[in-house]
Amino acid sequence: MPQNAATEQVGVGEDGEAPPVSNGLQLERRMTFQRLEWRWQRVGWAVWFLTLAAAVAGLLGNGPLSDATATASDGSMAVEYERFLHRQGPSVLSLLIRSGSSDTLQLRIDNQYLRGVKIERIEPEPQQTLAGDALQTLVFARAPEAEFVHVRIHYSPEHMGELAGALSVAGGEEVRFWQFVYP
Amino acid sequence: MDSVVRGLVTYVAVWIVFRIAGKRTLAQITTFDAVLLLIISETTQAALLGNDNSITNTVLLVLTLLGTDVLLSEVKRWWPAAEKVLDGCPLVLIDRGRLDKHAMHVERVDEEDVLAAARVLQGLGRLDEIEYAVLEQSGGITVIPKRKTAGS
Repeated sequence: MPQNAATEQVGVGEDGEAPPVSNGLQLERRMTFQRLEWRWQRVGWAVWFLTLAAAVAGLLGNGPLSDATATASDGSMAVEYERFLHRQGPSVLSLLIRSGSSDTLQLRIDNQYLRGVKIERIEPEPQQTLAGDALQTLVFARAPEAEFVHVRIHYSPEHMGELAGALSVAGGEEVRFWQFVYP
Repeated sequence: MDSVVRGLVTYVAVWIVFRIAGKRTLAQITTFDAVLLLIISETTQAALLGNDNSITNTVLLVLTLLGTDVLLSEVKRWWPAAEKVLDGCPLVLIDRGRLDKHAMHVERVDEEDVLAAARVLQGLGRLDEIEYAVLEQSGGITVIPKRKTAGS
């Protein structure tokens, strides 16, 4: 290396692996890259804030925009559910069923839906469960004077992605609803 | 929504506890303090996650906790009074060579701690070599030695 290349080149190895000295500091200053990083960080903060806002609103899990109610066209049943769920995160289907005159109540759940969720608990507990080809029927005992029966199904989704729910009571219209499960 | 609320509540609760416990609580980590810290993190974890172990929940919690931190650092920048409330302020323990016994008693700092800081930071061996000692916001002690008298 020539002698006159001295001061500014001190410490630079043959392959250039050591940074050059500038303003008395042997440090590679990369301000263009730094400014780019700062700019991206600002963008990141905006995305960050929007994500949290979406979460509070209920687009990424429970919250006001996630709560929904589906009603059967003939008014036989109303289902309160959450649109956006977390995989293996607990949730509840809250059913309000108009009871008929018989002393039992039959609730039918689509097997397709049951494949996607794990039922943790049902309140009140069904008397009987009848397994079918496409449906599972839960049979509840009904108090004679009850006009409406309230059933709560505690469950957690097993897979991420879309989930299509279909419930009905014997002799009533089907209630369909759509859910989305985040990983 | 639950994830964000849980994160915020935990952040505030932990902040209150540590603010009341005082600056020194975990500033100098002994082996036992390290274990205690692990136990605290294990205990809060259950409350934070609830029964929801999903990735989405975890990510939202991390975003909430760190986001609160970033937001508060911005608040402190624009509103200096907030910094005093949130982080406390530095406290002078030795002022021009004189010990403030009351302040040291209240903050649970003794001469030993100041001497240890003086040894580590400045290589000083005696209390009378210290001009100033300050208990910083972080809970660490900083030491400024007395100037050598003129002529030396």
